[in-house]
Amino acid sequence: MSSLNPSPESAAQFRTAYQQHGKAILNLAYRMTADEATARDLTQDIFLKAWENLDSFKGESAIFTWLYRIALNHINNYLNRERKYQWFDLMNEDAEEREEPVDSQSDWQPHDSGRPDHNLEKSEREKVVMKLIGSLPPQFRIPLVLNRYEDLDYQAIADTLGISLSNVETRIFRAKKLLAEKLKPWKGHI
Amino acid sequence: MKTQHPGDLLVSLLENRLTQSDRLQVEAHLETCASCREELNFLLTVFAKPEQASVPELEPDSNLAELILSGEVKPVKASAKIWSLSFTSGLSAAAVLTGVLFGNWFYTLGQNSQSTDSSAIYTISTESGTDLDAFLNTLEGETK
Repeated sequence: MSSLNPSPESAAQFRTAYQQHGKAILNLAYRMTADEATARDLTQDIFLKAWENLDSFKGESAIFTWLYRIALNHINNYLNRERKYQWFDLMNEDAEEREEPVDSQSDWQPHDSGRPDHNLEKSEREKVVMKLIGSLPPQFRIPLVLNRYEDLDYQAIADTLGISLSNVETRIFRAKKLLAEKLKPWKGHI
Repeated sequence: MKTQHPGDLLVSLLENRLTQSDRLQVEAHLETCASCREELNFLLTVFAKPEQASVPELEPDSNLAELILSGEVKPVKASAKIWSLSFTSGLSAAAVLTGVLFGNWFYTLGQNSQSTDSSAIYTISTESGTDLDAFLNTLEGETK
């Protein structure tokens, strides 16, 4: 699809798709990456890809299903590529931690107020949980996000990701075990 | 099981992944252990599907579709980020390699100077060995 001379019908179809599903795709990317800037970049890439391939959309499924598949593939590829460079990322994080003053990184540190009324509100708790989920390896994170935030049942996740049902169960179980471990310091705070 | 806390078996309990006998043991432990009950409640709370209103949400950019249609948007930063990361990775690898090479060079240099020093030590020890022989000879003479 040429972006220079789009047919009015295609352009209208694309505009409608973005208006109706842009938010869902952006928030899918946000929950998968737990990072707003990355989520916006990914959404831009996803819709650009959708526009370039709009010709291949045959209308056999709902446009949302088609977009969702493009989004999942793109996010999955991004997370896997990102994972390859995680070691270097960790090196960078270490360097940043050494440079940053302690106060500026206290957002995700449990702070011991010693008072029960300092417990975080539900949305604050969800922010913490989402951030911790965002730190899980992609193979565990993706099915957990799909189940927790996209409300897909295990069979739907298996179908979406093209893996077996037992594989989905195992991955979500592993994800929760890892998450429970990461949540330990937060017990009593959220 | 009554004295031993089940730890991450609590996740297995919530996910129905325990054998019948393990489940009974964990449940028996939970009846007597307040801190494990508290932990189980904590896990139940955080693992429960969140209310829609409590999940942080982003609002999409209103003009993204128009930017794409007008061709002003290129495949972007998410991929570019990976490339910049690879560039950083390359730089980091080069820095590590340089460090290793310099380290090796300094080590070799150190070894060379040490070997000179050790020959000096050897000479001294030979000399002191000579002194020791003389001392022993004196001592032998005295005893005789």
